[in-house]
Amino acid sequence: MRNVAVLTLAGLREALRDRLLYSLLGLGAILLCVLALVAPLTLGARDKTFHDAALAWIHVSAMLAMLVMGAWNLHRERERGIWLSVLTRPVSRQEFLLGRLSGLLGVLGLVIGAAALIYLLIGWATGVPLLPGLAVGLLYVFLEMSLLAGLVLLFSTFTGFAMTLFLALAVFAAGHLSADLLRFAALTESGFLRALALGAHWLLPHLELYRVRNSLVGGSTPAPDAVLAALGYTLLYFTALVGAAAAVFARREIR
Amino acid sequence: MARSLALAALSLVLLAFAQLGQPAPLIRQQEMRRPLEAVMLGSEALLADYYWFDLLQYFGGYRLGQHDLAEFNPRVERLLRLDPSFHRATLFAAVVRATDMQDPQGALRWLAWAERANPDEWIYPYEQGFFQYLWLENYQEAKAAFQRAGRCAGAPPAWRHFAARISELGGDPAVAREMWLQVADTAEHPRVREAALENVRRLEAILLEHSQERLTASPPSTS
Repeated sequence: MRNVAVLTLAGLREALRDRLLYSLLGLGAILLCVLALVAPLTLGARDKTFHDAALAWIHVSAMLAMLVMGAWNLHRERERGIWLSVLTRPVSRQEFLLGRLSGLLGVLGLVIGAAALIYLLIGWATGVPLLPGLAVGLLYVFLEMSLLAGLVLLFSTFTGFAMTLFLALAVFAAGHLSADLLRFAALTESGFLRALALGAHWLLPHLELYRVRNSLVGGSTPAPDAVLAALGYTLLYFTALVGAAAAVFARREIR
Repeated sequence: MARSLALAALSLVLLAFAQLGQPAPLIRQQEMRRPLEAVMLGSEALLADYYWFDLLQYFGGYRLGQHDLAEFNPRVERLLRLDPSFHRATLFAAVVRATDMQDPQGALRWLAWAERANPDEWIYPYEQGFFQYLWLENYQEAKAAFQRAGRCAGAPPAWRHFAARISELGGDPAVAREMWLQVADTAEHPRVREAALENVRRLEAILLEHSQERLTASPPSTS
Protein backbone atom coordinates (compact mmCIF):
# COMPACT_ATOMS: atom_id res chain seq x y z
CA MET A 1 0.00 0.00 0.00
CA ARG A 2 2.91 2.33 0.65
CA ASN A 3 3.91 2.14 -3.01
CA VAL A 4 0.39 3.03 -4.05
CA ALA A 5 0.37 6.03 -1.70
CA VAL A 6 3.73 7.26 -3.05
CA LEU A 7 2.50 6.95 -6.65
CA THR A 8 -0.74 8.73 -5.76
CA LEU A 9 1.14 11.65 -4.25
CA ALA A 10 3.42 11.82 -7.28
CA GLY A 11 0.37 11.99 -9.53
CA LEU A 12 -1.14 14.79 -7.45
CA ARG A 13 2.12 16.76 -7.45
CA GLU A 14 2.31 16.40 -11.23
CA ALA A 15 -1.26 17.71 -11.57
CA LEU A 16 -0.55 20.70 -9.35
CA ARG A 17 2.29 21.70 -11.67
CA ASP A 18 -0.02 21.58 -14.69
CA ARG A 19 -1.16 24.95 -16.01
CA LEU A 20 -4.34 23.43 -17.43
CA LEU A 21 -5.73 23.05 -13.91
CA TYR A 22 -5.29 26.75 -13.15
CA SER A 23 -6.57 27.76 -16.59
CA LEU A 24 -9.78 25.78 -16.07
CA LEU A 25 -10.35 27.27 -12.63
CA GLY A 26 -9.48 30.82 -13.78
CA LEU A 27 -11.79 30.65 -16.81
CA GLY A 28 -14.64 29.39 -14.67
CA ALA A 29 -14.13 32.15 -12.11
CA ILE A 30 -14.24 34.80 -14.88
CA LEU A 31 -17.37 33.24 -16.37
CA LEU A 32 -19.19 33.23 -13.03
CA CYS A 33 -18.18 36.83 -12.26
CA VAL A 34 -19.46 37.96 -15.67
CA LEU A 35 -22.72 36.08 -15.11
CA ALA A 36 -23.15 37.73 -11.73
CA LEU A 37 -22.56 41.14 -13.34
CA VAL A 38 -25.12 40.64 -16.13
CA ALA A 39 -27.77 39.46 -13.64
CA PRO A 40 -30.24 42.27 -14.54
CA LEU A 41 -30.42 40.90 -18.09
CA THR A 42 -31.76 37.56 -16.86
CA LEU A 43 -35.10 39.08 -15.78
CA GLY A 44 -35.27 37.35 -12.42
CA ALA A 45 -33.50 34.13 -13.43
CA ARG A 46 -30.11 35.16 -12.01
CA ASP A 47 -29.82 32.33 -9.50
CA LYS A 48 -30.79 29.68 -12.00
CA THR A 49 -28.38 30.84 -14.70
CA PHE A 50 -25.60 31.18 -12.12
CA HIS A 51 -26.11 27.66 -10.74
CA ASP A 52 -26.50 26.14 -14.21
CA ALA A 53 -23.29 27.74 -15.44
CA ALA A 54 -21.37 26.83 -12.29
CA LEU A 55 -22.41 23.17 -12.36
CA ALA A 56 -21.74 22.88 -16.10
CA TRP A 57 -18.32 24.46 -15.58
CA ILE A 58 -17.46 22.01 -12.78
CA HIS A 59 -18.59 19.14 -15.01
CA VAL A 60 -16.56 20.30 -18.03
CA SER A 61 -13.48 21.09 -15.91
CA ALA A 62 -13.55 17.63 -14.37
CA MET A 63 -14.05 16.03 -17.78
CA LEU A 64 -11.15 17.95 -19.36
CA ALA A 65 -8.92 17.25 -16.37
CA MET A 66 -9.57 13.52 -16.67
CA LEU A 67 -9.27 13.42 -20.44
CA VAL A 68 -6.32 15.71 -21.03
CA MET A 69 -4.36 15.57 -17.79
CA GLY A 70 -5.08 11.88 -17.24
CA ALA A 71 -4.25 10.70 -20.75
CA TRP A 72 -1.37 13.14 -21.24
CA ASN A 73 0.36 12.43 -17.94
CA LEU A 74 0.19 8.67 -18.47
CA HIS A 75 1.48 9.05 -22.01
CA ARG A 76 4.30 11.38 -20.95
CA GLU A 77 5.40 9.00 -18.20
CA ARG A 78 5.55 6.16 -20.68
CA GLU A 79 7.47 8.24 -23.26
CA ARG A 80 10.01 9.35 -20.65
CA GLY A 81 10.56 5.77 -19.50
CA ILE A 82 9.13 6.44 -16.03
CA TRP A 83 6.95 3.32 -16.25
CA LEU A 84 10.04 1.20 -16.82
CA SER A 85 12.09 2.83 -14.08
CA VAL A 86 9.25 2.41 -11.56
CA LEU A 87 8.51 -1.18 -12.51
CA THR A 88 12.17 -2.23 -12.20
CA ARG A 89 11.85 -1.44 -8.48
CA PRO A 90 9.88 -3.63 -6.08
CA VAL A 91 6.56 -2.28 -7.34
CA SER A 92 4.10 -4.70 -8.91
CA ARG A 93 2.18 -3.76 -12.04
CA GLN A 94 -1.10 -3.81 -10.11
CA GLU A 95 0.33 -1.43 -7.53
CA PHE A 96 1.59 0.85 -10.27
CA LEU A 97 -1.80 0.87 -11.96
CA LEU A 98 -3.63 1.46 -8.68
CA GLY A 99 -1.25 4.29 -7.83
CA ARG A 100 -1.85 6.01 -11.17
CA LEU A 101 -5.59 5.50 -10.81
CA SER A 102 -5.79 6.87 -7.29
CA GLY A 103 -3.65 9.78 -8.46
CA LEU A 104 -6.21 10.46 -11.19
CA LEU A 105 -9.07 10.25 -8.67
CA GLY A 106 -7.16 12.58 -6.36
CA VAL A 107 -6.80 15.10 -9.19
CA LEU A 108 -10.51 14.71 -9.89
CA GLY A 109 -11.37 15.43 -6.26
CA LEU A 110 -9.01 18.40 -6.29
CA VAL A 111 -10.55 19.91 -9.45
CA ILE A 112 -14.12 19.44 -8.23
CA GLY A 113 -13.29 20.72 -4.74
CA ALA A 114 -11.42 23.80 -5.98
CA ALA A 115 -14.10 24.64 -8.56
CA ALA A 116 -16.85 24.22 -5.97
CA LEU A 117 -14.98 26.50 -3.57
CA ILE A 118 -14.66 29.23 -6.23
CA TYR A 119 -18.35 28.79 -7.07
CA LEU A 120 -19.36 29.14 -3.43
CA LEU A 121 -17.12 32.16 -2.89
CA ILE A 122 -18.44 34.03 -5.94
CA GLY A 123 -22.00 33.03 -5.02
CA TRP A 124 -21.52 34.33 -1.49
CA ALA A 125 -19.92 37.57 -2.70
CA THR A 126 -22.71 38.27 -5.19
CA GLY A 127 -25.55 37.20 -2.90
CA VAL A 128 -26.65 34.10 -4.83
CA PRO A 129 -28.24 31.67 -2.35
CA LEU A 130 -26.62 28.28 -1.82
CA LEU A 131 -28.02 25.51 -4.01
CA PRO A 132 -29.77 22.86 -1.90
CA GLY A 133 -28.33 19.43 -2.65
CA LEU A 134 -25.07 20.84 -4.02
CA ALA A 135 -23.09 18.10 -2.27
CA VAL A 136 -25.14 15.44 -4.07
CA GLY A 137 -24.55 17.20 -7.39
CA LEU A 138 -20.80 17.26 -6.78
CA LEU A 139 -20.86 13.59 -5.75
CA TYR A 140 -22.60 12.71 -9.02
CA VAL A 141 -19.98 14.63 -11.02
CA PHE A 142 -17.27 12.73 -9.13
CA LEU A 143 -18.92 9.37 -9.81
CA GLU A 144 -19.42 10.09 -13.51
CA MET A 145 -15.87 11.33 -13.96
CA SER A 146 -14.39 8.42 -12.02
CA LEU A 147 -15.80 6.20 -14.78
CA LEU A 148 -14.07 8.46 -17.30
CA ALA A 149 -10.84 8.07 -15.30
CA GLY A 150 -11.29 4.28 -15.48
CA LEU A 151 -11.79 4.50 -19.24
CA VAL A 152 -8.68 6.68 -19.66
CA LEU A 153 -6.67 4.22 -17.61
CA LEU A 154 -7.98 1.22 -19.56
CA PHE A 155 -7.28 2.73 -22.97
CA SER A 156 -3.87 4.08 -21.97
CA THR A 157 -2.74 0.53 -21.17
CA PHE A 158 -2.83 -0.47 -24.83
CA THR A 159 -2.94 2.68 -27.01
CA GLY A 160 -1.14 6.01 -27.39
CA PHE A 161 -2.22 9.47 -26.25
CA ALA A 162 -4.39 10.45 -29.23
CA MET A 163 -6.22 7.13 -29.36
CA THR A 164 -6.76 7.14 -25.58
CA LEU A 165 -8.25 10.60 -25.83
CA PHE A 166 -10.43 9.68 -28.79
CA LEU A 167 -11.65 6.35 -27.43
CA ALA A 168 -12.37 7.67 -23.93
CA LEU A 169 -14.27 10.66 -25.32
CA ALA A 170 -16.17 8.44 -27.76
CA VAL A 171 -17.25 5.98 -25.07
CA PHE A 172 -18.11 8.86 -22.74
CA ALA A 173 -20.32 10.52 -25.37
CA ALA A 174 -21.86 7.18 -26.34
CA GLY A 175 -22.56 6.52 -22.66
CA HIS A 176 -24.64 9.68 -22.57
CA LEU A 177 -26.52 8.67 -25.71
CA SER A 178 -27.02 4.98 -24.87
CA ALA A 179 -30.79 5.50 -24.45
CA ASP A 180 -30.96 6.14 -28.19
CA LEU A 181 -29.63 2.61 -28.77
CA LEU A 182 -32.71 1.24 -26.99
CA ARG A 183 -34.92 3.28 -29.30
CA PHE A 184 -32.94 2.05 -32.30
CA ALA A 185 -33.34 -1.56 -31.09
CA ALA A 186 -37.08 -1.04 -30.81
CA LEU A 187 -37.30 0.45 -34.30
CA THR A 188 -35.07 -1.87 -36.32
CA GLU A 189 -36.54 -4.97 -37.99
CA SER A 190 -33.22 -6.82 -38.20
CA GLY A 191 -32.70 -9.27 -35.34
CA PHE A 192 -28.93 -9.00 -35.65
CA LEU A 193 -28.96 -5.21 -35.44
CA ARG A 194 -31.36 -5.33 -32.50
CA ALA A 195 -29.07 -7.73 -30.61
CA LEU A 196 -26.07 -5.57 -31.49
CA ALA A 197 -27.77 -2.39 -30.29
CA LEU A 198 -28.95 -4.01 -27.06
CA GLY A 199 -25.51 -5.51 -26.43
CA ALA A 200 -23.85 -2.14 -26.95
CA HIS A 201 -26.44 -0.52 -24.72
CA TRP A 202 -25.71 -2.86 -21.81
CA LEU A 203 -21.96 -2.69 -22.32
CA LEU A 204 -21.66 1.10 -22.49
CA PRO A 205 -21.66 3.05 -19.22
CA HIS A 206 -25.11 4.44 -18.44
CA LEU A 207 -24.01 7.99 -17.90
CA GLU A 208 -27.56 9.33 -18.00
CA LEU A 209 -27.78 7.99 -14.44
CA TYR A 210 -25.71 10.97 -13.39
CA ARG A 211 -27.97 13.56 -15.02
CA VAL A 212 -29.15 15.38 -11.90
CA ARG A 213 -27.84 18.91 -12.34
CA ASN A 214 -30.98 20.26 -14.02
CA SER A 215 -33.31 18.82 -11.41
CA LEU A 216 -31.08 20.07 -8.57
CA VAL A 217 -31.30 23.62 -9.91
CA GLY A 218 -35.03 23.07 -10.45
CA GLY A 219 -35.32 22.34 -6.73
CA SER A 220 -35.51 18.54 -6.47
CA THR A 221 -32.78 16.38 -4.97
CA PRO A 222 -32.37 12.71 -5.98
CA ALA A 223 -33.92 10.20 -3.59
CA PRO A 224 -31.51 8.28 -1.32
CA ASP A 225 -32.17 5.00 -3.18
CA ALA A 226 -31.26 6.69 -6.49
CA VAL A 227 -27.99 7.92 -4.95
CA LEU A 228 -27.27 4.40 -3.66
CA ALA A 229 -28.05 2.89 -7.07
CA ALA A 230 -25.67 5.37 -8.73
CA LEU A 231 -22.96 4.55 -6.16
CA GLY A 232 -23.38 0.80 -6.65
CA TYR A 233 -23.44 1.07 -10.43
CA THR A 234 -20.30 3.22 -10.43
CA LEU A 235 -18.49 0.85 -8.09
CA LEU A 236 -19.25 -2.20 -10.22
CA TYR A 237 -18.50 -0.58 -13.56
CA PHE A 238 -15.36 1.04 -12.21
CA THR A 239 -14.14 -2.31 -10.84
CA ALA A 240 -14.77 -3.93 -14.22
CA LEU A 241 -12.75 -1.18 -15.96
CA VAL A 242 -9.85 -1.44 -13.51
CA GLY A 243 -9.89 -5.24 -13.68
CA ALA A 244 -9.75 -5.12 -17.49
CA ALA A 245 -6.99 -2.48 -17.37
CA ALA A 246 -4.96 -4.64 -14.95
CA ALA A 247 -5.42 -7.71 -17.13
CA VAL A 248 -4.19 -5.85 -20.24
CA PHE A 249 -1.36 -4.12 -18.38
CA ALA A 250 -0.10 -7.42 -16.92
CA ARG A 251 0.57 -8.71 -20.45
CA ARG A 252 1.95 -5.50 -21.84
CA GLU A 253 5.60 -5.35 -22.84
CA ILE A 254 7.13 -2.16 -21.46
CA ARG A 255 10.19 -0.69 -23.08
CA MET B 1 -3.65 -11.37 -14.81
CA ALA B 2 -6.14 -14.18 -14.11
CA ARG B 3 -7.25 -12.45 -10.90
CA SER B 4 -7.73 -9.13 -12.70
CA LEU B 5 -9.75 -10.76 -15.44
CA ALA B 6 -11.85 -12.61 -12.87
CA LEU B 7 -12.49 -9.33 -11.03
CA ALA B 8 -13.56 -7.59 -14.25
CA ALA B 9 -15.77 -10.52 -15.25
CA LEU B 10 -17.39 -10.70 -11.81
CA SER B 11 -18.17 -6.98 -11.87
CA LEU B 12 -19.72 -7.27 -15.32
CA VAL B 13 -21.83 -10.26 -14.24
CA LEU B 14 -23.04 -8.36 -11.16
CA LEU B 15 -23.83 -5.35 -13.34
CA ALA B 16 -25.76 -7.51 -15.78
CA PHE B 17 -27.77 -9.07 -12.91
CA ALA B 18 -28.45 -5.66 -11.39
CA GLN B 19 -29.66 -4.30 -14.72
CA LEU B 20 -31.70 -7.34 -15.72
CA GLY B 21 -33.36 -7.28 -12.30
CA GLN B 22 -34.68 -3.79 -13.00
CA PRO B 23 -38.24 -3.59 -14.33
CA ALA B 24 -37.05 -0.81 -16.65
CA PRO B 25 -33.57 0.17 -17.81
CA LEU B 26 -31.59 2.11 -15.23
CA ILE B 27 -31.46 5.09 -17.49
CA ARG B 28 -34.41 7.40 -17.87
CA GLN B 29 -36.52 7.11 -20.97
CA GLN B 30 -36.45 10.50 -22.59
CA GLU B 31 -37.70 12.10 -25.72
CA MET B 32 -35.45 11.91 -28.77
CA ARG B 33 -32.98 14.78 -28.55
CA ARG B 34 -31.75 17.08 -31.26
CA PRO B 35 -28.02 16.94 -32.10
CA LEU B 36 -27.13 20.18 -30.32
CA GLU B 37 -28.91 19.05 -27.17
CA ALA B 38 -27.30 15.61 -27.35
CA VAL B 39 -23.75 16.97 -27.32
CA MET B 40 -24.42 18.99 -24.15
CA LEU B 41 -23.78 15.75 -22.18
CA GLY B 42 -26.15 16.55 -19.34
CA SER B 43 -25.68 20.35 -19.32
CA GLU B 44 -28.78 21.13 -21.39
CA ALA B 45 -29.86 23.70 -18.82
CA LEU B 46 -26.99 25.87 -19.98
CA LEU B 47 -28.38 25.78 -23.51
CA ALA B 48 -31.82 26.58 -22.07
CA ASP B 49 -30.30 29.62 -20.35
CA TYR B 50 -28.91 30.76 -23.69
CA TYR B 51 -32.37 30.30 -25.25
CA TRP B 52 -33.79 32.35 -22.36
CA PHE B 53 -31.45 35.26 -23.15
CA ASP B 54 -32.38 34.86 -26.81
CA LEU B 55 -36.11 34.92 -25.96
CA LEU B 56 -35.70 38.09 -23.91
CA GLN B 57 -33.81 39.74 -26.75
CA TYR B 58 -36.54 38.71 -29.15
CA PHE B 59 -39.27 40.07 -26.90
CA GLY B 60 -37.27 43.28 -26.45
CA GLY B 61 -37.13 43.62 -30.24
CA TYR B 62 -40.91 43.23 -30.36
CA ARG B 63 -41.39 45.89 -27.66
CA LEU B 64 -39.20 48.26 -29.67
CA GLY B 65 -41.38 47.63 -32.72
CA GLN B 66 -38.69 45.86 -34.73
CA HIS B 67 -40.81 42.77 -35.48
CA ASP B 68 -43.94 40.88 -34.44
CA LEU B 69 -44.13 37.80 -32.20
CA ALA B 70 -44.33 35.23 -35.02
CA GLU B 71 -41.26 33.36 -33.76
CA PHE B 72 -42.15 33.60 -30.09
CA ASN B 73 -43.96 30.27 -29.65
CA PRO B 74 -41.32 28.05 -31.31
CA ARG B 75 -38.62 29.76 -29.23
CA VAL B 76 -40.54 29.15 -26.01
CA GLU B 77 -41.30 25.53 -26.87
CA ARG B 78 -37.66 24.86 -27.74
CA LEU B 79 -36.66 26.28 -24.36
CA LEU B 80 -39.31 24.50 -22.30
CA ARG B 81 -38.68 21.14 -23.96
CA LEU B 82 -35.04 21.45 -22.95
CA ASP B 83 -35.68 22.57 -19.38
CA PRO B 84 -39.26 21.95 -18.20
CA SER B 85 -38.42 23.19 -14.71
CA PHE B 86 -37.52 26.72 -15.88
CA HIS B 87 -40.30 28.40 -13.87
CA ARG B 88 -39.44 31.98 -14.75
CA ALA B 89 -39.43 31.30 -18.49
CA THR B 90 -42.72 29.38 -18.35
CA LEU B 91 -44.54 32.10 -16.43
CA PHE B 92 -43.12 34.92 -18.53
CA ALA B 93 -44.00 33.14 -21.77
CA ALA B 94 -47.54 32.38 -20.53
CA VAL B 95 -48.16 36.02 -19.61
CA VAL B 96 -46.86 37.27 -22.97
CA ARG B 97 -48.97 34.74 -24.86
CA ALA B 98 -52.09 35.65 -22.94
CA THR B 99 -51.61 39.42 -23.09
CA ASP B 100 -49.53 40.52 -26.08
CA MET B 101 -50.62 37.61 -28.28
CA GLN B 102 -54.22 37.47 -27.00
CA ASP B 103 -54.04 33.66 -26.75
CA PRO B 104 -54.86 32.65 -23.16
CA GLN B 105 -55.74 29.09 -24.29
CA GLY B 106 -52.21 28.66 -25.61
CA ALA B 107 -50.78 30.08 -22.39
CA LEU B 108 -52.86 27.59 -20.42
CA ARG B 109 -51.53 24.72 -22.55
CA TRP B 110 -47.96 25.72 -21.60
CA LEU B 111 -48.87 25.98 -17.94
CA ALA B 112 -50.63 22.60 -18.01
CA TRP B 113 -47.60 21.05 -19.69
CA ALA B 114 -45.32 22.56 -17.05
CA GLU B 115 -47.65 21.24 -14.33
CA ARG B 116 -47.37 17.71 -15.74
CA ALA B 117 -43.57 18.03 -15.87
CA ASN B 118 -43.39 19.46 -12.30
CA PRO B 119 -46.30 17.88 -10.43
CA ASP B 120 -45.07 19.09 -7.04
CA GLU B 121 -44.88 22.77 -8.01
CA TRP B 122 -47.84 24.85 -6.83
CA ILE B 123 -47.13 27.82 -9.09
CA TYR B 124 -48.43 26.24 -12.31
CA PRO B 125 -51.94 25.25 -11.15
CA TYR B 126 -52.10 28.51 -9.16
CA GLU B 127 -51.36 30.56 -12.27
CA GLN B 128 -53.84 28.47 -14.25
CA GLY B 129 -56.45 29.50 -11.68
CA PHE B 130 -55.79 33.17 -12.47
CA PHE B 131 -55.78 32.60 -16.23
CA GLN B 132 -59.00 30.57 -16.13
CA TYR B 133 -60.75 33.19 -14.02
CA LEU B 134 -59.46 36.44 -15.43
CA TRP B 135 -59.11 35.69 -19.14
CA LEU B 136 -61.45 32.81 -19.87
CA GLU B 137 -64.02 33.42 -17.08
CA ASN B 138 -64.16 29.68 -16.57
CA TYR B 139 -64.97 29.67 -12.85
CA GLN B 140 -65.21 25.93 -12.27
CA GLU B 141 -61.84 25.32 -13.91
CA ALA B 142 -60.35 28.22 -11.95
CA LYS B 143 -61.59 26.77 -8.68
CA ALA B 144 -60.27 23.29 -9.59
CA ALA B 145 -56.87 24.79 -10.47
CA PHE B 146 -56.63 26.65 -7.13
CA GLN B 147 -57.54 23.42 -5.32
CA ARG B 148 -54.82 21.52 -7.21
CA ALA B 149 -52.33 24.23 -6.20
CA GLY B 150 -53.46 23.85 -2.58
CA ARG B 151 -52.48 20.17 -2.63
CA CYS B 152 -48.83 21.08 -3.36
CA ALA B 153 -46.41 21.93 -0.58
CA GLY B 154 -45.64 25.63 -0.18
CA ALA B 155 -48.78 26.95 -1.90
CA PRO B 156 -49.69 30.47 -0.68
CA PRO B 157 -52.71 30.40 1.65
CA ALA B 158 -54.55 32.77 -0.71
CA TRP B 159 -55.67 29.74 -2.78
CA ARG B 160 -58.29 28.87 -0.10
CA HIS B 161 -59.64 32.39 -0.20
CA PHE B 162 -59.90 32.42 -3.99
CA ALA B 163 -61.47 28.96 -4.18
CA ALA B 164 -64.06 29.95 -1.55
CA ARG B 165 -64.81 33.30 -3.17
CA ILE B 166 -65.24 31.67 -6.58
CA SER B 167 -67.75 29.21 -5.08
CA GLU B 168 -69.60 32.05 -3.43
CA LEU B 169 -69.44 34.79 -6.05
CA GLY B 170 -68.17 33.21 -9.28
CA GLY B 171 -67.99 35.95 -11.90
CA ASP B 172 -68.24 38.82 -9.43
CA PRO B 173 -65.94 41.75 -10.26
CA ALA B 174 -64.94 41.89 -6.56
CA VAL B 175 -63.20 38.51 -6.84
CA ALA B 176 -61.46 39.56 -10.05
CA ARG B 177 -60.31 42.76 -8.32
CA GLU B 178 -58.77 40.75 -5.47
CA MET B 179 -56.99 38.52 -7.94
CA TRP B 180 -55.57 41.46 -9.88
CA LEU B 181 -54.42 42.99 -6.58
CA GLN B 182 -52.64 39.72 -5.80
CA VAL B 183 -51.00 39.82 -9.26
CA ALA B 184 -49.88 43.43 -8.65
CA ASP B 185 -48.51 42.57 -5.20
CA THR B 186 -46.45 39.63 -6.44
CA ALA B 187 -45.37 41.00 -9.85
CA GLU B 188 -41.65 41.53 -10.19
CA HIS B 189 -41.81 43.29 -13.52
CA PRO B 190 -43.11 46.90 -13.44
CA ARG B 191 -45.07 46.39 -16.67
CA VAL B 192 -47.01 43.45 -15.23
CA ARG B 193 -47.72 45.42 -12.03
CA GLU B 194 -48.89 48.42 -14.02
CA ALA B 195 -51.25 46.28 -16.15
CA ALA B 196 -52.63 44.58 -13.02
CA LEU B 197 -53.27 47.92 -11.29
CA GLU B 198 -55.00 49.19 -14.42
CA ASN B 199 -57.36 46.21 -14.18
CA VAL B 200 -57.88 46.92 -10.48
CA ARG B 201 -58.90 50.51 -11.30
CA ARG B 202 -61.22 49.33 -14.08
CA LEU B 203 -62.93 46.82 -11.78
CA GLU B 204 -63.20 49.39 -8.97
CA ALA B 205 -65.03 51.67 -11.38
CA ILE B 206 -67.44 48.84 -12.22
CA LEU B 207 -67.98 48.07 -8.54
CA LEU B 208 -68.62 51.74 -7.79
CA GLU B 209 -71.12 51.91 -10.62
CA HIS B 210 -72.91 48.80 -9.27
CA SER B 211 -73.12 50.26 -5.75
CA GLN B 212 -74.46 53.58 -7.08
CA GLU B 213 -77.08 51.69 -9.07
CA ARG B 214 -78.16 49.91 -5.92
CA LEU B 215 -78.31 53.17 -3.97
CA THR B 216 -80.27 55.09 -6.60
CA ALA B 217 -82.75 52.26 -7.07
CA SER B 218 -85.83 53.61 -5.18
CA PRO B 219 -86.74 51.63 -2.07
CA PRO B 220 -90.32 50.24 -1.98
CA SER B 221 -92.67 52.75 -0.46
CA THR B 222 -94.06 51.90 2.96
CA SER B 223 -96.79 54.52 2.97
